[in-house]
Amino acid sequence: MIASAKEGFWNKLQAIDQRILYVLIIVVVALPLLRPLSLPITVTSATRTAYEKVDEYSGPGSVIVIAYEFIAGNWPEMGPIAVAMTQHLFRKPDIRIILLAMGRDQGPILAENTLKYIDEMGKEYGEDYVNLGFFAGAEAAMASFASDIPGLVKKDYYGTPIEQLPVMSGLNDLNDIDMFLCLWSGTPGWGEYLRQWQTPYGITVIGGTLGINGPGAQPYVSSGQLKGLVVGLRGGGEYEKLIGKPGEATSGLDAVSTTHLLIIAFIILGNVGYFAGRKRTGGEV
Amino acid sequence: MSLLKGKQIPIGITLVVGLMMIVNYYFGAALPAVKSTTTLIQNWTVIVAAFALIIGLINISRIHINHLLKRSKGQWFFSLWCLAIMYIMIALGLFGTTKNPGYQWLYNYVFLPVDATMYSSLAFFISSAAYRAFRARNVESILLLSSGVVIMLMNAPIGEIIWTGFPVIGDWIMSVPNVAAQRAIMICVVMGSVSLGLRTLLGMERGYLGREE
Repeated sequence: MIASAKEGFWNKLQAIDQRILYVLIIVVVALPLLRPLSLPITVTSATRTAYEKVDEYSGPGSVIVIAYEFIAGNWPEMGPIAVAMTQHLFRKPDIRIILLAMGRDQGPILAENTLKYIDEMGKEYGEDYVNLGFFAGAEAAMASFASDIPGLVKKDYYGTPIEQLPVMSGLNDLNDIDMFLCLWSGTPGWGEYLRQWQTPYGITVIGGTLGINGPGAQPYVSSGQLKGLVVGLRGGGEYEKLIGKPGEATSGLDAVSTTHLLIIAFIILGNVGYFAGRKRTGGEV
Repeated sequence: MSLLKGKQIPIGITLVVGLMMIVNYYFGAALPAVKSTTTLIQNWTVIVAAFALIIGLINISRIHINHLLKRSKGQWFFSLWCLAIMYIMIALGLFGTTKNPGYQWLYNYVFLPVDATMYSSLAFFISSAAYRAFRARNVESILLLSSGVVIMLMNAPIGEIIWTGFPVIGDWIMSVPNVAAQRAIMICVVMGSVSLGLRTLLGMERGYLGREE
């Protein structure tokens, strides 16, 4: 009777009701958000490289394109990256910034949301930066923009003809762009820009993406096609630290720590149950 | 007439345009005529793709109006909600532009949090899956389990507080074994894509033309 109760215990450790796990996740996410732990954030070499490359390629006179290729659902993870990287660029003197989207129709409105969180540092719309909106067609639109900017872009997001926007003057094709910040969450995204922009034109690209896309994008960092890559909430938090402006990622990283610890604790419990149960049944589970 | 009914014309257009794009990609700089023609076609594609959004609108309207007319059990109410919200957003966006306060409010305070909540709910499923799947049953699963735990600790600030080696090992996993495996997958995908592209250009792959009658 005692032996079977013990076996039952080890089996239960392997199959804890998922509702208990769900409740604990809510608790460990909510607690650090309500009462921050302020765990120190160390900047990894990947994020530091991205930050330094943005510095390197955004000298006076540069023209920089930022593509907001993510959707509303990605905002909690992508928003901090977008805000931190856009803020970094807005601090650069005498550069032109072009915001657009060709893969995700929500891009322009998320670009607007990003601008709400940043200090524009005296930059003026139309003179120093512009939101060109969304271009349907994904890869075809990217190819079209790369080869003939005036042929594709007739108006900005608000309907102003580009002839009236000094920020767009003298831009004919992708050779006139110095750096491209690709903030993507899926497809269409980096893969399409790689084919239509980076490979044929050799444009300098710095990326920002979801944690789940990080491993898939890593080969492009190794090959140099992505000069730098900021990944997930962790990358966003590190970038916020580098620009000295803590934001949503910094506050969210405490919750990431507690949640990951909880998951690891559950994995350990499951394995303890598995090995103890196997020992009692002589290796059969 | 049979030529118009058949698929020869679309296949012919695909072949010509496809070849033109390939020639432009590799030799565009040396062939200005090809470059300008492909640029023109790419600009047309953007316009055609914009019309595809209208087709999407018609399609989703048709499906949900059908549910409404049939009063589909457990569905018609959601169809009504979907159509109402969709047309309200369209009306606000078209007549007031996306700067319209109503449009902005619906996007920022309804759509954005709802979409983010749906995406965030993955945390529950992934946690549950990790707890159930990560069992050290054999060498392969031990490798998966240990690399998963190291990457989790690398991505959380608490990891390096526990042990400073976690970010170092995590970085090595991401930049060596991960890159090797990803490159192998990419090469396979590219070979498949080239094969699919050739089949499409030669008219052997006709899925994009719709179902065979």
